[in-house]
Amino acid sequence: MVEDQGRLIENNVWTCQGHAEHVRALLSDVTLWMAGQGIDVENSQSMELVLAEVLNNIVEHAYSDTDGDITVSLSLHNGFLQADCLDHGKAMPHGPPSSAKGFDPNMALNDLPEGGFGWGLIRSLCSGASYQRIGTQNRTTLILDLGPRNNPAE
Amino acid sequence: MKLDVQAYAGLLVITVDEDRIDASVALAFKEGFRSLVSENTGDVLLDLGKVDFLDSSGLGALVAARKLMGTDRALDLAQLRPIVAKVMRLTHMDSVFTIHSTCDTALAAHGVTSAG
Repeated sequence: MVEDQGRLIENNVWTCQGHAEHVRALLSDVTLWMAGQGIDVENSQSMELVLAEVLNNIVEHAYSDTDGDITVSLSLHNGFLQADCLDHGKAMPHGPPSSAKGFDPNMALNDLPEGGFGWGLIRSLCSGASYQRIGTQNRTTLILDLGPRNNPAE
Repeated sequence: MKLDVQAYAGLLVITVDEDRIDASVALAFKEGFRSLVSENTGDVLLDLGKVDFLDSSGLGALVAARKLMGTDRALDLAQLRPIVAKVMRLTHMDSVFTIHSTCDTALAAHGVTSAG
């Protein structure tokens, strides 16, 4: 139903320590929850991937000098899935990069990038992504359009 | 990071016996891969048939592995699951590797008949 678009269906919150192994465990719990909500495998894998990118970024940059927790809130709406990631580490210096890094498949082997793919993946898969610094907190929001074939409300 | 190895004439097949190559195991993958390929010369086929998750850290590890081999040796990939193929495609890294659908087609491409 058009007027039903965007209606909140279900929400859940997880917290983990800012280390790669704990992020992996949180992603596993999130994936289980998404399956339980009837989200199809392709959408679930996309959300897991973009969440991994954001959370890895937080571990490597926001918490590069300190320890801290990361809180992930997932909200399933009619038509889209929203993830809000909160941490209280260092601010991201300029927010997410505004344009993709150049990559030429013909470039020399030794020049191939080994990093910097994360935000490109997020932009490719998400219909929305934003970053805010609020006080001592970083908030990164991702929105995944679930597409017409996946309406968990039905 | 469990890596299984099968050596054929002219091709070393490394099977990743893990379901994820992600931030928590990217370094272990690189180190394991490095120690396996430094003992050999020749081409390598990486069987990713069990890998159901590859994030940008995992992708970076694959690129590092490719660079480690140098320009004289090939690093091919086989049996990419949908999400892994998607990550390779979205990042355009699928043009950096030769990707085979199965290990048998990869072996044949390298002139190796698979063991019976």
